[in-house]
Amino acid sequence: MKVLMKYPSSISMTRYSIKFIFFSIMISGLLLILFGCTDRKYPRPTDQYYVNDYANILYQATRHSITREGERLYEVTQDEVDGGAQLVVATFVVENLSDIANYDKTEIFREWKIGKNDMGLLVILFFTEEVIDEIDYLVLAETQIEVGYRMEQYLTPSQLGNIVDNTLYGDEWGDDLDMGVMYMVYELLSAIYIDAYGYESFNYDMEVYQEYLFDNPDVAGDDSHVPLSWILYLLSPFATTGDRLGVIIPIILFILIGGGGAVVKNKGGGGSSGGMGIFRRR
Amino acid sequence: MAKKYLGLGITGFIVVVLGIMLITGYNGLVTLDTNIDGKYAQIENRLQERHDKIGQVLGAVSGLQQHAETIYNAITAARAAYASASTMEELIAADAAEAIAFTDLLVVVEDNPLITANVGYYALIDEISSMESALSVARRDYNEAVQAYNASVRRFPRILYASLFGFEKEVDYWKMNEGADEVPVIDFND
Repeated sequence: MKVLMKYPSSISMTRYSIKFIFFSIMISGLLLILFGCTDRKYPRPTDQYYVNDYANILYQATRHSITREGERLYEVTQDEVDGGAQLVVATFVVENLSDIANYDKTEIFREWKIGKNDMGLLVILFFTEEVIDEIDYLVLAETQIEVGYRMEQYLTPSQLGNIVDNTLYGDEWGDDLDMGVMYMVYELLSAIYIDAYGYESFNYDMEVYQEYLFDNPDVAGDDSHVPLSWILYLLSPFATTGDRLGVIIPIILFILIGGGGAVVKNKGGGGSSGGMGIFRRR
Repeated sequence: MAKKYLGLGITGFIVVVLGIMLITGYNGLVTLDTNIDGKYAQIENRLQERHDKIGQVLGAVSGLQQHAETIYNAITAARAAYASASTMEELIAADAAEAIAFTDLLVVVEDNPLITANVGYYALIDEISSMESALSVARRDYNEAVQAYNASVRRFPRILYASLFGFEKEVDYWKMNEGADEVPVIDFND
């Protein structure tokens, strides 16, 4: 009888041990998350890194194009002198123009560590909300560009001013925000490739891009999010310990490796800047 | 015999710990002090660049001396003050004077139809406006470096090392009058 009683007791102990380990991991994970939640003045860069559309105003096609071009620039210039240039675009919504002063482009640049060897360029677009015929619109209020320390010797403020005036605020494509932004990005890339790295040319075609934009309309739900049904399933009694650990362990690893160093593909090159750049209001 | 070795061991341990503390404390102060020098040099570079650019702007504007003599004199006086500045106080005063003179110059050129600017003028304004932004950051970086040094040098035991190795007890901040270090926002669409 004693031997027969021993098995259920052992199984029960094992179950308790697994539950204990599971909840310990969960609590440790939550504590790590809580300790990691420092009060940040600016948001972290997104996992796409090269485009941080916090105003949620750009089409996915534009976001993908900027990311693709940003990755390409970083990769192909790696072996050049002063290599590893990064061009990052960010958008923010502000309530009014005076709120723009709450954003310091140099601080954002330094926090996001843009560009290897200080070869970074940060473009920030500020939008204000306007109501026209009872419909809310986001209107481009100001554009700022911050240049990395080393990039200063290749791109001058007047050159950057010219590019912004002729592209984003220009007559050709300036009426369409996505076209204007992409035109500006292509021109900035052109200046970096040619002036900083001595390329003979950088070719692009805005009409081809316009077609690409028409052919790739935004699709709801295209951006990946963790569906709520998954969370409910994990909390339900139907989820196995394996299911739960399968979710918890990657989250713990994600946190331990420093905010997703193992998952996030693109990240800053470690660059810094000294306030050089331009301001443009429309 | 064992007690003697124990005593020697403890004394040796204390000497090693004190030696390590002294070295790390000294090196820490050197790092902070060097950081200040680096930030100061950065301000000097930016000031020189702005000084040169303001000279170019004056060359791109015609009629300033005849129609806005006060501003013209203020700019030339600020440039002369910068050229002759030898101490940090003089440099700070010249920096503020050039910043104010530049802002006033922008207003006068925009508002006075008798003063004309050539094609390169707006490009130069972009350059100087950017330089003002860079100077503002350079001053802030310098003051942050000074703050870190001043705070560190007052703490124990670094206050002892500072006296021992002849480090300055307090470094002056780059203080500008209120509003003098604001970056002028230029709206090219006006």
